[in-house]
Amino acid sequence: MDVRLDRFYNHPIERVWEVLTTEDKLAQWWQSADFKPEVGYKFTIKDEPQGGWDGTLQGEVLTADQPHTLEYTWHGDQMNNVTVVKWILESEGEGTRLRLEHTGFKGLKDSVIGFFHRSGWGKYLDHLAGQMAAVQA
Amino acid sequence: MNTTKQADVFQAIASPLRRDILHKLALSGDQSITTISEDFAVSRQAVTRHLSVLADAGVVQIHKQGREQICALHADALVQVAEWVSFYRQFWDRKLDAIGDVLDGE
Repeated sequence: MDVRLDRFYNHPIERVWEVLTTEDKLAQWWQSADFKPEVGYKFTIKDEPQGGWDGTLQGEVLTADQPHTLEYTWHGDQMNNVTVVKWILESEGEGTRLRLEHTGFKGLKDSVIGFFHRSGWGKYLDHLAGQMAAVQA
Repeated sequence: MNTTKQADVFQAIASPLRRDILHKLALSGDQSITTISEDFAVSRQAVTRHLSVLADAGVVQIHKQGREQICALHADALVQVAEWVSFYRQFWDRKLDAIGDVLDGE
């Protein structure tokens, strides 16, 4: 149950690294960022608030191997569990292949139940919870 | 489940009446279109139209039983959509686009 995506950019690897790690570049694809590519750095990123979520994301840098690997924990959203986001950069011809792995989606059942709670589907929730318990049994 | 299908499911559950229909199917089990129409203060045509949206999104399955059409909840499709994995797949896909825009814009 992970998210794995990859994308090719026709730009050199150092440029892609810069977009992932420097505050002024991060602020161009998030609302704002307090971030440093240093292991142990506790960062705060703000995104557009949506669906009752205030848009604040926090985490800690786990790996910063310029310009190849950037990895951090990821929490503060509605999931109530800590996941890990990993970016892997590889030169490919003149450009860069960027791979994203978002892993650690544990307790999905609780998240699903939380989703239905917030949607006000209290009774449906009971049914769904029963179904999922049956699937897991 | 592809992105288009997920969009369909989100759209399907955006309507309060369609949520009520799903709720009813979840609580009472399979129901005929006639029975569902009787329980909601809307026309049979309107219920049929809403049910076809739900069926297209894969959250309801409709089969014939004699002269009746029977509707059954297909909860798996809902569970998949509710999963944060699905949410994040779309979330990061948009972010990867945005990264491309930042790179191209320089």
